[in-house]
Amino acid sequence: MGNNNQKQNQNENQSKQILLSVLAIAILVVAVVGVSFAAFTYSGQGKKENTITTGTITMEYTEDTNGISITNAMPVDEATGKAITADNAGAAGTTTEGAGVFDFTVKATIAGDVTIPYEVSARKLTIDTADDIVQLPDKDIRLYLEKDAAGGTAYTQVAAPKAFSANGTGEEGVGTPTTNMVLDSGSFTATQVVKYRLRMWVDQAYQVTAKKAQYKVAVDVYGKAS
Amino acid sequence: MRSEKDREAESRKRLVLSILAVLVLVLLVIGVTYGVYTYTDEGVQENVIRTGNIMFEHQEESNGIEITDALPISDSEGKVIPATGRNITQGYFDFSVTATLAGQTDINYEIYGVDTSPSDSKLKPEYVKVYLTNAEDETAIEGYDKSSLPTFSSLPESSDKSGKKLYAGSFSESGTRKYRLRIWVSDNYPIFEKKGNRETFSMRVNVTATA
Repeated sequence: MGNNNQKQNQNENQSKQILLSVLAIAILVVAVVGVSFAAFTYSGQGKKENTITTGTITMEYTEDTNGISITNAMPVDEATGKAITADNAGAAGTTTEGAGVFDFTVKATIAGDVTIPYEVSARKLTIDTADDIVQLPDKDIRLYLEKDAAGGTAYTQVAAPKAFSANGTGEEGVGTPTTNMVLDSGSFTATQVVKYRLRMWVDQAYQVTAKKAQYKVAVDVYGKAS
Repeated sequence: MRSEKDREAESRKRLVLSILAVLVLVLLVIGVTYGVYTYTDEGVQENVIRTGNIMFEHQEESNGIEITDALPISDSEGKVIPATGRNITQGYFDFSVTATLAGQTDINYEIYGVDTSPSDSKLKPEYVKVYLTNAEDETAIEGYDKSSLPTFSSLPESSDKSGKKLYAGSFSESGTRKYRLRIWVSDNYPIFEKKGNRETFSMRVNVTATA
């Protein structure tokens, strides 16, 4: 019996030895395989910063005076219309408020290398037809714009007086709506102030009737960085 | 009934067979990693497998891009940003990747950008156009040869989750590839709405490779 137990123990010991040997070699395999895979990767961190900082573009449109307001305006010729002054002298009518001219400023502040085309336009407004007031026809109104590109008040003619005519080019241009009338176009390449003076009158060809007639416009400025 | 001797002999046999089996497994797994040299009796014919050798590196060849007072521009203008100019200290960034391979293996690499912009006054990556070319002949790299160029935000995520993949390629033989990176402010950046506030975008270029 004692011999059988001894033999059994020997067999168990041998089995254990076999198992341990197999385990040791398996660990060796894993260690070798693990080292082999770690040798074939690369990671390079860049040191140089690549940086862009934006420039700035601001455009401001400032209305320097009240809008034109002429009541009881009578038709006048071109020379008279162009001579209308701020206090409405020469408007061949009387005014209860407002002025004979409309002054405004367009200013661009630019930090960067850019050309900004812009347009000044007139937007026709709807009138209040209460009290039997009627809309003056577009063809009987004259719009006349002057400017000083140096930002002063030495105004010079932008274009000859014209009747209102919608000619904006929308998004194909700088964004002036197609229902607006472009009065002036220009471009900014650096910080600059441009002062404008707008006059509006009833053309001498208008046939005055018993009904009161009215015409209203607002001025818009559009610019687009390009 | 088997004798004690027989059983011991059998145990030893089993032990030897187990060890041999594991050794064969080791050799199969390691494969070409180790050299095997054999000599035949029939002459001086040598059958040799030598270990492969892989080296990979990337070099930053120029200073990083530095453009100030950058305004929105079109892709056609961005593609030709010069090395220097008005408001341009460094208009593009040149870098290269080099692989040295001695053995039959391919090495795959990935070039990716990491956004390092300041958190305040950051120019959003959706307004940053990216353009990668061959630095030697300025031909557009694959993916940048389309009519519409990607923005940094539209690039796919890199294998490093913190970055955006600029390009992935591979070497099957030794060589060097030179790249040129340009970035600019997209022409849809609403600069008028920023009302005079400046914004900044920064990035670094990293490279990973595996074989």
